[in-house]
Amino acid sequence: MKTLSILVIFLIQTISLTLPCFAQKVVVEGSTTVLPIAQRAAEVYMQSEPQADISVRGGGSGVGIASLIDGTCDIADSSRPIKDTELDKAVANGKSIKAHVIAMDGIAIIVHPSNNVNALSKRQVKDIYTGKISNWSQIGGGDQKAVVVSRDTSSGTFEAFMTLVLDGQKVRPDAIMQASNQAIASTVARTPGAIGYVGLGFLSSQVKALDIDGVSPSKETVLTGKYAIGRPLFMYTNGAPQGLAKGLIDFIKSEQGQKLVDEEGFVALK
Amino acid sequence: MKKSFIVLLLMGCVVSFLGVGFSYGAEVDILLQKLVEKGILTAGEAQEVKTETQEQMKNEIAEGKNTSLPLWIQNMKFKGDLRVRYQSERKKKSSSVQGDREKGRIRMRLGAEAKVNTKTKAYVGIATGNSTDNRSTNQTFDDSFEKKDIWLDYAYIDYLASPWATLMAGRMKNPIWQTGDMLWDTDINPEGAAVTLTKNLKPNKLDSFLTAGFFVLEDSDDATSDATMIAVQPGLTWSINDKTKFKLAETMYEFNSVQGASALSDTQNTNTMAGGEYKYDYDSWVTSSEISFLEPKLISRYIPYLAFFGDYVNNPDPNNENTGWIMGLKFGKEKVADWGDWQFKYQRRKIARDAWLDSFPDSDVLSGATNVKSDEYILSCGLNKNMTVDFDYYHSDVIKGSKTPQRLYQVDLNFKF
Repeated sequence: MKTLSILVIFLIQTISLTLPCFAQKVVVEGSTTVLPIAQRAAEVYMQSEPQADISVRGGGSGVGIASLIDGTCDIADSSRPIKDTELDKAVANGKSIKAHVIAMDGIAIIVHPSNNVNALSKRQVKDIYTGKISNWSQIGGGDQKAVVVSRDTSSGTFEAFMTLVLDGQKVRPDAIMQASNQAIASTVARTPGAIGYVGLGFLSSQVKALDIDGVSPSKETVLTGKYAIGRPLFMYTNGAPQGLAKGLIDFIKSEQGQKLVDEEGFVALK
Repeated sequence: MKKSFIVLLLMGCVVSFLGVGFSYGAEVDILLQKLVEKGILTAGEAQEVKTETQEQMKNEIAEGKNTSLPLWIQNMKFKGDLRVRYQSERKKKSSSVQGDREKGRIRMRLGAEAKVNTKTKAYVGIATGNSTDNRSTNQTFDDSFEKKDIWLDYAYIDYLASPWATLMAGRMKNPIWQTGDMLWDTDINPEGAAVTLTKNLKPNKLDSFLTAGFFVLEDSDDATSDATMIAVQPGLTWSINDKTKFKLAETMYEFNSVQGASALSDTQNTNTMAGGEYKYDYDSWVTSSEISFLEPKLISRYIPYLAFFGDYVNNPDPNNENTGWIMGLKFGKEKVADWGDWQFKYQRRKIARDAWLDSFPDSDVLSGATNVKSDEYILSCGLNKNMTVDFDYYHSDVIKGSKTPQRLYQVDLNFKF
């Protein structure tokens, strides 16, 4: 009996001493667009799972994917699909990359409610932002100067807009640069002739959202891919995620996680 | 579970469609649309399944492609380039100098990079040229269509000893950084061993590097008489902001068994000799710097890249005719690689008789001699992907002695593959 008691005490001590070793750590790195979702999800997840240690950092999609291939992060955030060259590199390094779509990014083009233009093509939006079109009368509107409002260049929304609409071309130099979606919406709401772009979560009656290529911006049209200014957001893992990485991705894809996605101004999948 | 089943089902469909040559993307879209219409999937789930399936297929294609290739091919990379040149040389005739010349020339280079193991790579390159000219890989259209020679251009090993230390040995691409070709013709590949150390001093802001090399210039019967060179180059790269970068390096060269020895191979006979031997030592100090601006303010719409650069060399042994410099600017596209890309470059140089050994400078400036001054203008234009045309004009002359001004015009068609 005494031997059994000593054995049990020894076992309990061993377990208690080794428990800290089971505290799991996950490094999430990559896209600055996905960063707010990853940060918010990690914060909420760690509150419910105190032993979880989740480190989230930006750097860009390419950096995150490179780190995943090098094995220096567990989850790579990306606002674009992985490139074939990256996949080749991953395979050469013995990695099998698995994609997880966690949200959609949809950008609405907004104008002042008094503007009589209701729809534009993606090309026309590009021409306005690059300076080829400078007056609304050139595209069926009133004789009014087009006041271009854009996000600052460090924002993920700007990056998405550059990729999806501007094809990498530069915004006209006299554009009014704003630091947030809300600031863009406010500027457009009080400036007749203004045009701006915001995440779908920032639409209100203060501004008018334009149809693009004949499709209205909405959660449904973004999710179905009918709306032209939308894209999926990814988390990539090496093989099927395990342990804490799986827990975090499952959480983001859950109802609760998708609610956070919605709150961050992105299009939730559910 | 439901989604996993659907992904598997779609994967099966995709593979089947691939087998019979269907455009599977549209078929998958229709299938998913039906599932959404019937309420089996939400639009978000359909988007998730569709995108994840596409990504999974991409990965499987990459894995399949990779494993289907032999290992030695997976570990090799090949590259090459071809240059076709028209050249016109206009020289003032004198008793010892030929007059105008027109030439058609060709240059071909092929290179392979082989991964030996995770830390070691081997590089091998062959090129046109001839065995007695260390500064050119050209072959002139000549000799009634006789076939042209191909030589070993470089062959070296690169060993990544640690993330901050790389060792190289063999006949290698010049590891010493320089902004112009006043001292080293870009075709020269030194033979010996080198080490490059790098250290980040401030993340995304300040990087330092140290390159050191030991190179053999001439091998003699007596090892103590071997002409050798040691080069040590510490430097800094400072990212002033996202778009402005400054690079600075100081290079110390030490030459052994050169002073008092007979002329090195490929000399242009412009260094000072005494009794058929080099009179001076050529242990020199070189300062190199470059500042570059991406999207410079006010002119970024027209000029996306602008850089100023320069090298200064001083050989302390002679009392005079012992310095040289090159400086210039370039603007346009940082790299000319596709249709519509262009870059203009101007550089001026002046290198005195004993500032540097006359076996190494750019051979297009009076055959690579010292005691020369030159202005060079280059316009590079992209014609298509990996196709460029360069217009290069040199106006060169000697600094001291009877003047032999030379105007050199080159039109190069370059193809990279």
